[in-house]
Amino acid sequence: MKYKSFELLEKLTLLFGPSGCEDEVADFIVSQIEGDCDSITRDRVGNIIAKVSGRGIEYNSGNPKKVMICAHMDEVGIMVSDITEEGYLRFSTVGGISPTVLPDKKVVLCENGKMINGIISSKAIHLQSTEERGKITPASKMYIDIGAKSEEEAREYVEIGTVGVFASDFVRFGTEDKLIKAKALDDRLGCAIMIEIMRELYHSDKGLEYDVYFAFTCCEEIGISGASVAANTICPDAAIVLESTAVADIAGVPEASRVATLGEGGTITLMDRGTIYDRNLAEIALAVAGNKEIKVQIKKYISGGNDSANIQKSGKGTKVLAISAPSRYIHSSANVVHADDINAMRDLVYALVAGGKL
Amino acid sequence: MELKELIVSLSSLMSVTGSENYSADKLQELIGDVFDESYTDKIGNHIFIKRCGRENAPKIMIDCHFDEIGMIVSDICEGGFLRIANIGGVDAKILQSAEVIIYGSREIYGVISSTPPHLIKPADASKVKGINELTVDTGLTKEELEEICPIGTPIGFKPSYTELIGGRIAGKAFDDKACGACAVYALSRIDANKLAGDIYFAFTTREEVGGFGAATSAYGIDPDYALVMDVTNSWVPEVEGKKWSIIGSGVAISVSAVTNRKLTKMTRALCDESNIKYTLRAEPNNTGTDANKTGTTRAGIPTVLASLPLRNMHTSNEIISLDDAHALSELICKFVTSKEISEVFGR
Repeated sequence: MKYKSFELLEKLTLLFGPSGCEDEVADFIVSQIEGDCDSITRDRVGNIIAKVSGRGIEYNSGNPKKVMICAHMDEVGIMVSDITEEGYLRFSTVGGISPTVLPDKKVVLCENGKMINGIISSKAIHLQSTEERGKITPASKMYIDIGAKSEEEAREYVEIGTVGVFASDFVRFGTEDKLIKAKALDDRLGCAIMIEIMRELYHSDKGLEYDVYFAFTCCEEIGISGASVAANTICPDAAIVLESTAVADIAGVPEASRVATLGEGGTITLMDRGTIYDRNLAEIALAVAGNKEIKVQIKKYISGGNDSANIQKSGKGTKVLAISAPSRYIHSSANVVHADDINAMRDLVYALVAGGKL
Repeated sequence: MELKELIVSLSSLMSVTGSENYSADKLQELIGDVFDESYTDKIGNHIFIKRCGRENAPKIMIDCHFDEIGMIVSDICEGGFLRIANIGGVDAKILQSAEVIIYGSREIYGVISSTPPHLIKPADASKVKGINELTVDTGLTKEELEEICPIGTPIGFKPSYTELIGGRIAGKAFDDKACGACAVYALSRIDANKLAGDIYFAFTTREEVGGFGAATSAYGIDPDYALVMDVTNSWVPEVEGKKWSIIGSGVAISVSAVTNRKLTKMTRALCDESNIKYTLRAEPNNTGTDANKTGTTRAGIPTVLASLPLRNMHTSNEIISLDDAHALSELICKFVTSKEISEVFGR
């Protein structure tokens, strides 16, 4: 499989898509995949489901087997909860964002299609008491500064319920520019991999023995999970969730807590806080990776969770496999992932799906 | 160059305290043309002189600090991480997932590490991680780092600039280079023969660690009187008391024991005459600025302190109002051309 640059991923991460407001991401994805699949549907919760039909010799068109590949379009963000008389915005987070990564970060808010900039702010160091300096400022004591001087001026641009996301550019850095920093890599990297696999499968001569459904889902970050709706609609025999998983392979963290390592390949989860995964699928994935010499690693810490939990429980139940890119500083304005891991994930998922081992 | 452009250009320069020479050439390129002469003194103050063309003219000093808070490499770890220490008052609470530039033999990019939630013990959930517990993730190897950015290399926030609504802007190091931009902008628009004396614009060093640059530059220049510019914390939510120095309220003029009462009154009069918006700040003892030093340098230099209201001080997104910046620039115009002040304070 040939790799393009990370241009598609870059474009995806820059899009505006907090949970519940995934339209911009969805529109972009649809524009990218037209002509690369047999059908595209947009369901009532906002999921995009694209289908590449089976064309293999043993494909049973009357009762086809179905594989679902899934990545979520939404990202963590903020929602305006109040506007002070001086024009500052109080906010709540959309999805889980630690208060430690909020202060001094840029956000962009969108209301009626108009984007405005804001800065997540809190008391400057000079204005904090000694006690305050030693304590993490809760989000409830922070505010977003859009430059307004009054509530009236602020209300020209935002209202209660206006949502926003981190404003953060796409940066390649480190040795050979192998590391990628951006916002929303969780889970636009999954979306990017899906688009590229879809194109490859659809335009290849090889017919598959099953239908492949690509579900670009909404609202993963708030746990509501558009993926469960997608799975109910598709009723897949097996599902692969492409995600990013929080790792701590950073200085000062003991080996046992690092979860996984950047650059060592996609991470296969056997168990997390939401799911005990299908052991057989995980073993097939590990075997395929071994045969094809694709780097892969097993998640070494029971933490986190993703759409798999909802997909597994959907309909009459579905076998799930999750392959995640190890990701540093997840749910912040500066997610960091390794380019090789994304490529390895793409190789592995393609080999799994095209190889007919599912 | 328009004032906004000048503010952004100057603030984007790297001038972490102690490394003010890093951008000396770029500084000269940006503002050199406005002045007749310039020199850098022994501890790194950049002094720019605009002459009025008359013999034995009074020496008027405009002081603004060039340095900005930042960090320094304190150790190099395995896996491409740098341990860091702060230079000046850096709030560790704003650092996690911040983006920085390490100014080594080449400029390299880094992200300050943050701890994933699964590793935070409930008991530590509200505890701030000190800067000595944080690292910068560079994605380079230890060997590469040892070569490019050895211990002692300065680190600054990645320059960025954001337009907010209503003519307010956000960026790094507006403290204090936005003020410097106001002065340079003012001086660029005044004919030399209108000046009340020779103007010494001191872009000082080491304010963020104690104002040593202000003391030595004032000593070296020996001006007749001085106007010190700095930024001042604007009222923000969660701060109790009166809403002082709010954005858009104009220049904040300090009343303090370390500044000269008469010069302060005369400066206020300039604002009143020209309808320049200002508010008063009562700072009886310590102004926390270069004015603390200039006032008592040599035989004492009559000093007035004029400040630019600013939100989010010492962060990478300091916020100012362009209206306030224009007011400050206008005040500088009036101050350096005031014959009344030069007659009273010129020696």
